[in-house]
Amino acid sequence: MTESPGRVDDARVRTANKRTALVLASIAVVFFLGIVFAKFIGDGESGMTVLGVAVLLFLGLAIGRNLRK
Amino acid sequence: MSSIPHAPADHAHDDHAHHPSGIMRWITTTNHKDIGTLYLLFSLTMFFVGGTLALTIRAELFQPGLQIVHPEFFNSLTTLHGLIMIFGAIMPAAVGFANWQIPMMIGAPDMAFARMNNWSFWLLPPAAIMLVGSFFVPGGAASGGWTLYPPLSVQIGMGMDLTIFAVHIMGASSIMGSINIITTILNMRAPGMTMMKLPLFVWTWLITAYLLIAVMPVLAGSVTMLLTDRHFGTSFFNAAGGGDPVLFQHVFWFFGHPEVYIMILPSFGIISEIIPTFARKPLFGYASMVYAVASIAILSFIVWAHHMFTVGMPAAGLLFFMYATMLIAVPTGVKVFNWLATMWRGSMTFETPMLFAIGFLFLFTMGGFTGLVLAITPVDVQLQDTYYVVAHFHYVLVAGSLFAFFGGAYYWLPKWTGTMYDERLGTWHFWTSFIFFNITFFPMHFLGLAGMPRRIPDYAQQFADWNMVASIGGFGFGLSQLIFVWALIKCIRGDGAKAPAKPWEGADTLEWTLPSPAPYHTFETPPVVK
Repeated sequence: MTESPGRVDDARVRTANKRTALVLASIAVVFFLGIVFAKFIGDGESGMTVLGVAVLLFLGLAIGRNLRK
Repeated sequence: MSSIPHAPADHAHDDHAHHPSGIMRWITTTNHKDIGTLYLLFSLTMFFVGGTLALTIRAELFQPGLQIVHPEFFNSLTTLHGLIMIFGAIMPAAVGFANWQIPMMIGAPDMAFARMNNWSFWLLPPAAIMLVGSFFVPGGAASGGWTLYPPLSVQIGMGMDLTIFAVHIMGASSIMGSINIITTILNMRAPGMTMMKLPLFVWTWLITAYLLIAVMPVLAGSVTMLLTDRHFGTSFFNAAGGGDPVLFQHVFWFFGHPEVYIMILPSFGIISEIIPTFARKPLFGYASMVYAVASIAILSFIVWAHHMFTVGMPAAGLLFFMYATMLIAVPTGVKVFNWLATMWRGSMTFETPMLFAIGFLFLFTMGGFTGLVLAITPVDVQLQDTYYVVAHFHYVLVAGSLFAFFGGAYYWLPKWTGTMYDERLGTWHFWTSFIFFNITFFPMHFLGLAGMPRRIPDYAQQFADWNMVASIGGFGFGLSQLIFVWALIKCIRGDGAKAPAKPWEGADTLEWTLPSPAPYHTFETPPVVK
């Protein structure tokens, strides 16, 4: 691939970018697996619980990280 | 909103020595402007492919009886028209705008993940080929409607498998694009560009990207289950094996309704850039606009079952989804009010972008009102799957999303190409689109109220007159879009007045500090926003 000279070189920003992307990708994975798992076990309440806990966990992590700052 | 203290020369240079030329430039590019161009050209191509299917549908419906296509093929046409327009035209166009504009509007040199950006785009052409190519496989293309409801989608031929894979690929592309956009906005803003100084287009895309990350995996999960039902003996949705087809509808619309806002929120952002520019006033109620967009996004998760009022739900469910749907009118009303208030006593001029913005405002509001009508459960039970619904969502998505994208294209074409578009062609494009759009879709309200069902190739004699009018309008609308292509080609060829750095007097976002056309690399030294 051709590297663009305009790309971000600052290591701190790159690390932050990777961290943000990983969190976002994990949300996508949880939703994908969550919906299939919920339907697989055939219990709507369990599915809602799994997704609810996941959403709260992500929110808790996000708020916790900001509190730490 | 931001104010810009820097001169353009500080942030831009047009050094083309660093990238290959010819076809390899486009295949290997990691430059956000190149990738934005690719997205926009791809979406325009798919718009014409989807439009051709729509015109075939309208040709068949020109008069009662079967004259041009077989009923099975007609079903494939309606299905693929929906899928291509949503996943191939509207969504990639929005991502194209995001690629071009977000880095320039927040003072970033590029997207956060430039290589992934390239990959996100180049996933789309194979998906599009699969989707369009499904017409030519045994059994033909998917024909159960763009919603892919079982049991039809479990039973039909391998065109459905291609559709499922195409949806998977396009979903992966959207998720990668969204991750890129969110990361860029959160981590790569210029110093001083606080969240509440972000241009509204950037805000709307930030929220849209979150919506995409939340709901695209749900669609991917549901079509994966469909695939395993088709080929691996599971019975998620297959009633014969103990599955529940209605379950698919719930899961699909949990994706499907936020998807409507995924298609319209970036358009809100574009309109929110255009109206203040041509009213020469700051956007009225900036903060309330941001909160309204966020409210719409949150509410979009709790209204999905209004698409399926007739499947049989408890009364409490019907009431909940009816009231929740009506609630969306509140933040949407805030936005419409704020756009009108921005125009109020402004020094307005009516260049093509503003014409499309006002056209959007008028027609989208009409589409919103018919949405409110459909939100009322007993009314919806009467109008479910009639042409009233077809009229409603075309007012929202064509006069909404598409008109905003045309407005945005005319607004930013001078920055993208360095050439002013032909105002005469732009005006003609707007008025012919506006008139023929209404000729096409307004009569569909009457057809729906009279009881004409959607997705049928033949109809009773009583519906003949308005169908003929709608078909004439459809062909007029389709031909009108050639004017846009003409105006676009003129701009790309540099056939027109040279665009200054800031062609619009009232524009105040960062991209207008750059020369026109925007240099290949911009904001390598971040600007300071005060």
